[in-house]
Amino acid sequence: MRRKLLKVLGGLLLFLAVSLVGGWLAFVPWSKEPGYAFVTAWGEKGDGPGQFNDPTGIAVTGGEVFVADSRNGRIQVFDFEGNFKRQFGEPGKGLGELSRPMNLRIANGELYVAEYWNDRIQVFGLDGTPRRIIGSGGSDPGHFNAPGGVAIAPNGDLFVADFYNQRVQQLRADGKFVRQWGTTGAVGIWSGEFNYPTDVVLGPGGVLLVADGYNDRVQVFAPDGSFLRKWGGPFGMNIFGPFNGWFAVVTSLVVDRQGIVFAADFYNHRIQTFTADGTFLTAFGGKGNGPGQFSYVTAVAVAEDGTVFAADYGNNRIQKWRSMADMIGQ
Amino acid sequence: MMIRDERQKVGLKKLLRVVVVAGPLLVIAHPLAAEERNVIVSVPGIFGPYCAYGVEKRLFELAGVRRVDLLWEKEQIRLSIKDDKTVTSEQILAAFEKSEYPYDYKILGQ
Repeated sequence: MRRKLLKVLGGLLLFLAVSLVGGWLAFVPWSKEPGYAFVTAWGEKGDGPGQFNDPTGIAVTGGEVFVADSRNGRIQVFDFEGNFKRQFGEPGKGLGELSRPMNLRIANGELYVAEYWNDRIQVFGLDGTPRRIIGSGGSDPGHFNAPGGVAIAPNGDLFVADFYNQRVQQLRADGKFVRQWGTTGAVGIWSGEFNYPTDVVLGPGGVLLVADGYNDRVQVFAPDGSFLRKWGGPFGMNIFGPFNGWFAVVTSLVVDRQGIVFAADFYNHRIQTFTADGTFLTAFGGKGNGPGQFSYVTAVAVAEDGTVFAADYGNNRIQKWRSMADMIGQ
Repeated sequence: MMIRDERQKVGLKKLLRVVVVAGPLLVIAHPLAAEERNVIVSVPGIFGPYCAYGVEKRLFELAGVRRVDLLWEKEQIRLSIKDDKTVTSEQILAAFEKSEYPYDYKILGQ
């Protein structure tokens, strides 16, 4: 009887061990890249030039880094070494004013700012000249409830992560509604549904990638609107965690020239990279306030030369990283 | 005059009773000193801007709210109430509800 019990217990333990190892191998991928090295950081809390009060968005073009300095209601511009160049915007609701700017996107020589409190997308020239406003508050087509991010198609169409409306909208350049993904106001965890989407970006071939924030995953849609794939934790089904390829709220996405996807993994204090099909490549960062550590990373941007810039929200600073493969090659 | 004084006394007693009984449910703006017109709300988990800004936006929509401060390290929000306005705890809780804040929150007091 005792021997039988031991056998059963042994079998159970073996089953558990095999399940754990199998699960780990199945759902926790290994790093496939040499990774990234911390280069420098700049900024501290405050409202002066080069200081931040909640950096929540970042974009790069040419030799300049644009940062959404959210609580200060402004955009700050730096060179790649972190030297302050200029700023524009002030808190408010008018043209040229900003209220809780979030993720940024640069396209066709213009800066697109998702304004969380003003429920709109505001477009600036890169010199800071305000040009136009797209959308207003509401849940009808073409309206927003706290947009978190925006992407621009080559034809000028906008794709907007409409956070509280639980949808992504496609609009013409003049704001005219085209279509949407997700059901307005309805949270869902199945494919094509969202749980507070925070950002969007267009990838190679015109695919649409959505940072499905609180579903802890990335969803990808074909140009015809159909669902293609999703990733983030087991089955991409709102299971969060600290492992490779898992997320704890995705807040920003960017795709580099090679088609590599960079994702800001907010509560895991790191950036993760993936191939276009969602294969995990590497992760960098970690919690803290030292060099190369993040306190809740909100946003990520990649320059033409592969340099990565990240908004280190809790530490009120911007971090600069380089691919180790690039550094070795130099 | 006497009757008026008695009425005032009765009125004061009533007011005292209201404050003692309903104090935790009512944030009185006008009669209190400036430092007492702050309301502290415990908001565990309010680290992300998406949650914080959502809550702050709804709180600012309350007519009596003058200022909203996020005390990030303490995971608290401090509401400052306008001198001539009243904000009830029900209004504060309704604002949180509207913001869809996913974690527990609690009015700690003034």
